[in-house]
Amino acid sequence: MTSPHDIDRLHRVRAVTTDLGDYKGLHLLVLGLFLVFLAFAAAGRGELIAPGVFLAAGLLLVVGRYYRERFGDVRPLNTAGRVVRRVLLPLLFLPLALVLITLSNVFGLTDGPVSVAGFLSALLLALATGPRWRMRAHYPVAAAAMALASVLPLGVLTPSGTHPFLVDSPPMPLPLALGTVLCVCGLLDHRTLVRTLPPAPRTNETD
Amino acid sequence: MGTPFEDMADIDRLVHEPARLAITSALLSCESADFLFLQRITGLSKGNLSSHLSKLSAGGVVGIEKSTDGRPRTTVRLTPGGRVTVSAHWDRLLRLHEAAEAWTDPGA
Repeated sequence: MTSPHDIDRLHRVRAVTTDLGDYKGLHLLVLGLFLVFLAFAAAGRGELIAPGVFLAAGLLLVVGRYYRERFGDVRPLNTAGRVVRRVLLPLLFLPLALVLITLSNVFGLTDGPVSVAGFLSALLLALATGPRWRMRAHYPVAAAAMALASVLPLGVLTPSGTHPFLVDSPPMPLPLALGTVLCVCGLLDHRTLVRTLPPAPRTNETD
Repeated sequence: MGTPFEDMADIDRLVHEPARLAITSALLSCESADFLFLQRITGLSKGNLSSHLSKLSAGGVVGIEKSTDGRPRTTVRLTPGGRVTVSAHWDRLLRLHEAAEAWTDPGA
């Protein structure tokens, strides 16, 4: 008889198989590092951006190859729920972002005590990763923390009255915060993948 | 649906063996998976995994496809009938799991 422990393990296997691409967290680590790089390098040193893009693209290729060779691959089921999560939810973000940006311009919030851009980043993080957060609780937590930090009027604590996420001199806090969040979340996803898929025994046979 | 004991008696032995249950559970959650991924899921050696896949294939639960263009690659998927069998098996397992959790010893 399958024990409850085995059922839990099988649930983990099914969750990781369903969304294998999401657990290949080193991709997100590369994106996060790129954002951190932008936070330090972008303002005033635009000549560094192009090499940074090429480096990030190269690293993404290396990471993709690493995952294919170490963990294998699956072809996901294209269910209606998956299409909604992958396409419709992120698409909903665009009109919502436009509305919020327009409202922030109308009400003069572009350099105010709250950060609409920070809130939108948190929302995008939640939409792009949800709603299947069973083994990925770090995403709603990180998105909620970023959203809270964005809507709290932290600008009243700064001499300029501007929210820290709106500062555009290096290191820029918003890309720095978002990049750090992506690095941490990516490493946690990778850890889940490694724990769920233990190394295959090495033999000389071929498949 | 019968009693939990009748459900246990009806369990499909071909699918329920632990390694094969892990293989079919993974395949139930995707369109297809390659050999390496199934090896990582089960922790089996290539020979053992091949043996389990052969049994599942002989039972009509999975279909195996070998491509030789470029790097040799083995892809495994549930057959339509296999998907029904494994889904039913999962439903039964979850029912038994719930029944086991709800069960209280009448003598206690």
